[in-house]
Amino acid sequence: MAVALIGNPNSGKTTLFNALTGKRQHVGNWPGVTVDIKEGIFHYKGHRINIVDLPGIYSLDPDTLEQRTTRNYLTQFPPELIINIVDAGNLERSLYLTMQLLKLGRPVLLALNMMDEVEKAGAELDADKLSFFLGIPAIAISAVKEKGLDKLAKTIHDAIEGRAAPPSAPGICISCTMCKNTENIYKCIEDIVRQVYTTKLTQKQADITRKLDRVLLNKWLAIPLLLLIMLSVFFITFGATGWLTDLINAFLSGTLSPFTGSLLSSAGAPAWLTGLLCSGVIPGVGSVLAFLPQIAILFILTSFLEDSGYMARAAFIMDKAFSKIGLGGGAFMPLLMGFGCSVPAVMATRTLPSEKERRLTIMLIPFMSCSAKMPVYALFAGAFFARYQGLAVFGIYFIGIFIAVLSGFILNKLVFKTQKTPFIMEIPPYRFPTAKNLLLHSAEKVKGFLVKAGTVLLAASLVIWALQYFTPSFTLAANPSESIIAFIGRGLAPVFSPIGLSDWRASVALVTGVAAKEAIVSTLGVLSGSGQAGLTEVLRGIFSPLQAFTFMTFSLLYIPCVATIATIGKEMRSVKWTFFTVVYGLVIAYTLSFIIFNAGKLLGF
Amino acid sequence: MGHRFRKGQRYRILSINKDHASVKRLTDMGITPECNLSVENVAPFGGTYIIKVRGYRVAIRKSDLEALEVQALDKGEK
Repeated sequence: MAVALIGNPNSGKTTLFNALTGKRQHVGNWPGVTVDIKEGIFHYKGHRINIVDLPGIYSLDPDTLEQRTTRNYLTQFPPELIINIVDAGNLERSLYLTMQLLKLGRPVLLALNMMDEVEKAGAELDADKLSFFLGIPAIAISAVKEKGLDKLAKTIHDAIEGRAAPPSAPGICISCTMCKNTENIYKCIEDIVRQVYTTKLTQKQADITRKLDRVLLNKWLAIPLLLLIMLSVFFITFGATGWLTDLINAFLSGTLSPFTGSLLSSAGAPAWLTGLLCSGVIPGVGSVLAFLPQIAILFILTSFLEDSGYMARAAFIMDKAFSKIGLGGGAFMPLLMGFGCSVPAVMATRTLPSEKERRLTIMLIPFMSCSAKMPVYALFAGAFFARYQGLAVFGIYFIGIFIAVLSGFILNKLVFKTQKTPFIMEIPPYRFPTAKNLLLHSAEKVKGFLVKAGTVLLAASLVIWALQYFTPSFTLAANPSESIIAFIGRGLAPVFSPIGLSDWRASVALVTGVAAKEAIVSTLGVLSGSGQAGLTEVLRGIFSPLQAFTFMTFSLLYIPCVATIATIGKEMRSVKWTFFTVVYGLVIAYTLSFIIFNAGKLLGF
Repeated sequence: MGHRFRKGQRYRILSINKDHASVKRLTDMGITPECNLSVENVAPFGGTYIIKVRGYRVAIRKSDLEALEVQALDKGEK
């Protein structure tokens, strides 16, 4: 048995969960950050209390998948105690769920979160009086400021130990039958709120939100500002961190590689080991690690937009466009997350109201260029389009978005045929993001990236290195072009020749890219046997600028990585749909690459 | 039905069309008869609004708002 955290979306459940358990789950200022169940342990005076963080719900008869998750959990594993966390500044709507929870017959504890904002707005909330009306303990807290948590912890402990206070509170609501009728629930709530919550007229918080929205959501300015903000994120990520990438590269190929080489040879290590490390592991993993700064910056910037409350508004601004392709503005968030990583993006579709909408959104997510593909573009754009680097990469992202919109339109017309989709989404007030949360989120992504580098990319580099070390008859390859991998690559050549990628190294890189997109870069790194400086030279020998751009386009659109395919399979719950998604991407990638390459050739590029 | 929602205007919800597909979601979000809403923002191409209801903001499509029978309120009217 455990304690369950339940509340509306964006009421701060995960922030409270992190504060109580010391864990570091991702939080954001938009409804629906948590889409699956998270468990943690909370220590209080030597007691270990299991605590479960559930996706936010507005009511107990919910209609989206993640809300069903919460409901199913409650019926399957009735918790020992329900901690109902509510946004104290938004009591009327929040208490609707509370009323339903009270009827479950499980002990409920009310955590009145964001009390700091209530106070700042010059309002007052009488927690004791509220507790008196509802017949359950009510504790005022601020999860972000970590205020009132001691009292909350004590109350949780007491409630579990059976020393809870209910008898002292009559619980007017429990004995009142007026709210049996759904229509009357809100009347009861209004009565209660009127008696416990008093506002004075200085609503500072609301004013800031209104003022900001007057500009950011202005009829004429909203779209230009959205574009400007997105472009800034993009150019800061690529423009401001290039020198760091160069620095890491210089260290890896200029210092680490020769140092390791001389160290090994002076220790009398066999040549294959030196080769393995200096022309396998270091160029393979290193060529990808060099792009770590971009990943970190990208996530700091996007977390800033998420936490501030702007992303929810971006969904609102884009809603009209989404309605044209049969989606609600709610699909904006998962699609946007796709620029980070497709795996959480696909999972985030659980917040969408219909199965059709979920499937369509999942199919479009892979076209949102994920951060793992960034090293590919950065490498190729740097090598071939140095002067127009930003423009070339922007072009690739734009192609991805364009294909997603076009696909949405076509798939909706031919396959999904949705008509009216509802869109009702809470818009949180603007909040200033905490540095702690921004760094936490970014660090979490960087950690994930490092883990990937140390596992998938390391393994891929080792395999590629071994495959180019031996010939198909298992003798040492005098020249990589006689190796097993060259043999495989040449076998694939007829497939890739029509799109201009006939070089065996290109085809091999695309195949390993299915394991993880960064592996495209690490494979090319290993196959060129050098750091990025040498890699650039090798690439210029393999590709023409037109072929390079075709390669970038193909990398953008083709098969998602295995982790994404697995997640799509899990979320689609259908082999047919998963297969369709993968094949669809492949067909689009091949067709578009074919067009770009051949049209480019005709135009004389 | 067919009300034109105007920015800055306050409305009183008179009733809700029980046959509309979005009734449950509207109720869950506290958008119910006898409460007031104000239109805070209109999306650039129209069709979607941000309304303020029960003290918080919610983005909502015109097609969902059509479930509501509303009456425009004069300034200062409660």
